[in-house]
Amino acid sequence: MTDSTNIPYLIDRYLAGSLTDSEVVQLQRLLIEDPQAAEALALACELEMFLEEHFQEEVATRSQAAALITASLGEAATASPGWFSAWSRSFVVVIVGLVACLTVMLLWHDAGVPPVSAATELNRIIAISSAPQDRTYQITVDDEVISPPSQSAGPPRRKRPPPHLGPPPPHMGPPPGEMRPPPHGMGPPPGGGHPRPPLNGAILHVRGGRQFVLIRATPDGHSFVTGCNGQVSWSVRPDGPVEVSTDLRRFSRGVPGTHHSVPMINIQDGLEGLQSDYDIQISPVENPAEGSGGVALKLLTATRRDPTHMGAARVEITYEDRSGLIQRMQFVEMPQSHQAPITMLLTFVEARNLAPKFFDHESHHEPGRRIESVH
Amino acid sequence: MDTDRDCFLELLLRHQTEIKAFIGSVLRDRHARDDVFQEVAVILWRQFDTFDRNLSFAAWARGIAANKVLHEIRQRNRVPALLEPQAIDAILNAFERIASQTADRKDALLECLKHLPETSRNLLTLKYEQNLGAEEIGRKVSKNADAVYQSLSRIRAKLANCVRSRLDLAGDA
Repeated sequence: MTDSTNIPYLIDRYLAGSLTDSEVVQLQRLLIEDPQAAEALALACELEMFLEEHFQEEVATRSQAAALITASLGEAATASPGWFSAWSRSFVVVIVGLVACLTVMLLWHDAGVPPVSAATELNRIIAISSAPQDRTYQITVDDEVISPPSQSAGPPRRKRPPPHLGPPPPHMGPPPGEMRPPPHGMGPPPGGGHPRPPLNGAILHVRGGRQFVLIRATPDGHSFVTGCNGQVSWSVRPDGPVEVSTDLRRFSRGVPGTHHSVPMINIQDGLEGLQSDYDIQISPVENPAEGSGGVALKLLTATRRDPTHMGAARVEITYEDRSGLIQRMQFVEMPQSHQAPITMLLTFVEARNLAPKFFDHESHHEPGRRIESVH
Repeated sequence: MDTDRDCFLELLLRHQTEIKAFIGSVLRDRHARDDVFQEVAVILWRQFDTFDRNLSFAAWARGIAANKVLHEIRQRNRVPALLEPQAIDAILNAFERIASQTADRKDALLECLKHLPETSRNLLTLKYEQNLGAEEIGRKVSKNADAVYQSLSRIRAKLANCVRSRLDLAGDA
C-alpha cells in the first residue's frame, strides 16, 4: 500500500539528499507502482536541470563576453585534444560569437548605456578573424598614392585592372621551358627569371588568422603561390623546387607592409598591431557599396599616431555590424622599400570551408615536385 | 564524416539538458552526473551510425544513458545512487511520457522566472549559479539550512505550478 500524498514530500527530500533508509524504500515502491509518481520525479528533475542550465548560461554569458574583450579566441581554443574537446570548442566558438554580437548590439543600441569602445570593437573583429572559418579576399593595388576621403566605404579608384581575378587553377606546375625563378622568395633573380609577381589582382585565402594562401599571377601569366599552414611557410614558384621553411614569415617578406604591422597576410597579427600604434575610431557606414546585400556595415578607421612609424598612414576596415565579418580593408599610403607608398585594398570574396589540406603546399603543385628546406 | 559529426553535435546540444536531467534524476551528485554524461556522449558518438534518424534522439540517448548508469552502479559502484534498477526503469519510462512537452515547459519556465520575486531569484542564484549548499546559502541570507531547503522547495513548487498553468492556458487557447 502506497501513500500518494507523500510523493511531493519524498521527492523534495530526494532532491535535497536527505531521505532516510525507510523513505528510500517508500519512494522506490511509489516510483515502481505509480506512474504518476515517476512522472512527478522526472518533472522535478527536469525543472532542476532547466534552472541549473538557465543560471549557468547567465554565468557563461558574462564570463565569455568578458573573455572576448580581454583575449582572442585563438588563445582560448587551446584546450586538450580529442573529439569531445573539439566539439566543446566549436560550441564555445559559436556561443562566444553569438554572445559577442549580442553584447555589442545591446551596448550600441541601448541608449542608456555608453557605446562600446573602439578598442573593444577591434578585439571583437580580431576574435572573429581568428575563428576557423576560411575566407577569401581579392587584393587590389594602386600604384600611386590616392587619399580617399575618410570614411569612404566604397571601393577606391582602381588605377589598373587586376590581371587575375578568378580562383586558382587546379594545377600550378611549371610549364616547359621556363627560366629558373629567383633563389628565394619574391625578388627577381639577377639577370632574368620570372619577374616579380604583382600583388594587384592576387587572391588571398585565410584560415583562422594564422594560415594563408596567396596566389599571384606573374606578368607572363603563371601562378606564383605562397602560403603558411601554421606549421611551415612555403613558396611554389612556377618552376624550380618548392621551398619550405619553419620560419612562418619566410615567404611573406616580399609583400609590402609585412614589416610594418599591416594586416595583409596575417590578418590576426596585423589587427593586433593596430591596437598599439594607431588611433581607432568606429562609425556607421551610411551608404554601403553595392554588393553589401543590405547588411548594416561599420567602418573602423585606424590612423597612425607616429608619422615616423613605418606602417600605413591610415587603415580602414569595413565590416558587417552584426557578424563582425570583414568586408574590405584598405591601407592608405603604405610604404614600400625604395618605392613610393601605395594604397592597397582587400575585398572580401567569400567565406566557405576549403579543403582541410588547402593550406599545405602539396595542394598547390603536382606530386613529385622537388621540395627544398630553406631557413 | 563532417556531416555526421555536425548532425550529431546539433542533436547532442539540442537534447543535452534532457539527457542530463535523466542522469541527474538517478545520480544526485552533480559531478558524478556530469562525468557520466560525458562518457555517455562518447558512447553516443561511437554508436551514432546505428542510430535510426527517424526515431527520437533524446529517447535513444536516454536509453544508452540508463544502461551506462546501471552498468556503473553494478560493475564498479563508482557512482552514488539510491535507487534500484526497477525504479530507474520506471523513471526512464516517465521521461519518455513527458518528453513531448519538454520544449514548451522550458519556454514557460523562462517566462515564470521573469515574475519571480527578487528574494526568490537570489536564492536560486545562490543554489544554481554559485552551486552553494543549503548551509552556505543559509549563512548568506541569515537562515538555517532547513529554512533554506523549505524556501527552495516552495520556489520550485511555485515555478512548477506556474509552468503547469501556462501550459494549461496554452492548451485551452
